[in-house]
Amino acid sequence: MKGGAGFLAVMTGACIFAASVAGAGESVPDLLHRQDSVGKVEQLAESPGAHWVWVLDANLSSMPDGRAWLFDADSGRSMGSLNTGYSFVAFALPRAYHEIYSAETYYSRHTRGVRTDVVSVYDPNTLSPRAEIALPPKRASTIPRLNDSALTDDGRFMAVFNLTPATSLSIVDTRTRKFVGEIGIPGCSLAFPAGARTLFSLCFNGGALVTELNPDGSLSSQSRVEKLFDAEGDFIADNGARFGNAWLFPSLYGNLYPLEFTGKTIKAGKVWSLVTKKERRENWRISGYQGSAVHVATGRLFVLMHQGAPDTYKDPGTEVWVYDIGSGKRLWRIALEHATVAIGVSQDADAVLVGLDMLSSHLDVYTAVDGRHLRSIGEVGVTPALVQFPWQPPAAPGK
Amino acid sequence: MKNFDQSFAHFSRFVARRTSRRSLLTLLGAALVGAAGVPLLPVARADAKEPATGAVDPTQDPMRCEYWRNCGMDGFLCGCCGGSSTSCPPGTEMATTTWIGTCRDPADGRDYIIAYNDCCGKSTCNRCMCGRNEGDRPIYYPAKSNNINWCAGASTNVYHCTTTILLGMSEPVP
Repeated sequence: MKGGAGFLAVMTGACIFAASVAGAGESVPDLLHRQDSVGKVEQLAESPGAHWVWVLDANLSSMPDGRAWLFDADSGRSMGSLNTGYSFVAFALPRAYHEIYSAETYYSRHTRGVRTDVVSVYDPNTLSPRAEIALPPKRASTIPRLNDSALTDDGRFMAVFNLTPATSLSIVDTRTRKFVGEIGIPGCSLAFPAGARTLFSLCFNGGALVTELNPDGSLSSQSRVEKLFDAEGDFIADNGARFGNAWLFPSLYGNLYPLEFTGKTIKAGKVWSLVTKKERRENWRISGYQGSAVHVATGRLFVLMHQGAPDTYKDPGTEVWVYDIGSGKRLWRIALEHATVAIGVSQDADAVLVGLDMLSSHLDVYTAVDGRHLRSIGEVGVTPALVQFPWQPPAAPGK
Repeated sequence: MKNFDQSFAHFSRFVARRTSRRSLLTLLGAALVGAAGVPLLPVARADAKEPATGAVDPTQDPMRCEYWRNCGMDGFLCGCCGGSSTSCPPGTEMATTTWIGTCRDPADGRDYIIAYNDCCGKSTCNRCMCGRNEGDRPIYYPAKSNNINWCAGASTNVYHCTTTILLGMSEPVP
């Protein structure tokens, strides 16, 4: 009845409005057709645009209310958002982008009550929940890092980093929608995909722990690899960029450490310098929470940099330095519009580089080919910390 | 919405004035990082008494980020949130698992072991943000990483603010 009364009110208003403007060449019946339909809800295209990008917002001023915002970097338009619970970090995105996987924590009374950890499965077209997979309530709460969770290369198993403070991975089968089990990773943290059903975690002693899963997601084997980097001296960042069968990690003093994986193990690749001796003396430093990105097709590495003492290695970057991965040669430097905590590169031929300023809440868009500033998109979240591009190219050279 | 915007703008200005821009980015962690060479160990102790303070010198003022005990701080000062530098605000819970480091008190030139116990169970305090990343390490090195929420060691993982509890004098650093 309430709805019917509302409809009558609208109709009455429309008639009054129509009567007041009739006489300008339009009849009242014509004007009555000038109505918007009620109840329309947008849906996104089946395939994401090459320059659509998720901005991940931990909302550190009100952490139970994590969010993710989808933007079109070409138009600057907001495409929609997701609400992602307490201490939100990042998604795990399958290459086909047929679903969005998000490790989330909730309390039954906002900040108290029963804690529930889940992997939420979202429909990428409607941005609505499709399923929910219960996890042990152990999910790590950190300042956001993309590799707080990861999807195996076969796209089936999601690993969620736990810290209680004992460290482990919760393994979820995205196909059966079930929690498979918990795998301890003592002394190590985070999860990096390294094969069809293989992940590795970085360890406090400068090594890595390689975890291989069985076809059902249970633990097949674990092996430790020692001395990949110097955890006390020239330590690597806890965020890197994937390039084929390697993860590339910039280090505290401006070196690039490739960790290469073949089969069931990992080895240290050839370390090369990101900076000259002069630049090192001038304290050019790695930066941010997502401080590197790769454009796979061209084999280019983008590294976020600023000048500062060693303890500033997570400070926002002021420039992006671009390298040819094959030769290690630096190609150019890009001056950034805002102090930037995270960078990402789209994977299309006409690629864009995006940079995120957490404090002023801006997403800056540049051409990846020459660093030309295209636009800045404002109001991209409360404390946005990371970016993720949903679109992936059909094939990845270098793999 | 207007109030919310103003509130957040105030918060941002506060952070910019009191700390570097990086600090907001690292506000969650409550781990501590102390002088080089001092081992960082898990500690289960949450019953320290508040010492007498009141000095004008900012290194002796628990309400200031410059307070000497805050050398490894990365979070909101509980003294600004209804608690003190050594006590949690009403209705919160002090995490009993934390990490320790060493800070030098310029008043006597001695090094002391400080535990950065988080107060947990209410949403982020958002007052008196203090970030000092001295000796911080990446997340894969939890004992030295201030980007981890140490309310993981409490019955609730909801971070509110951080205390600085003096555990005792440190051995001289070789």
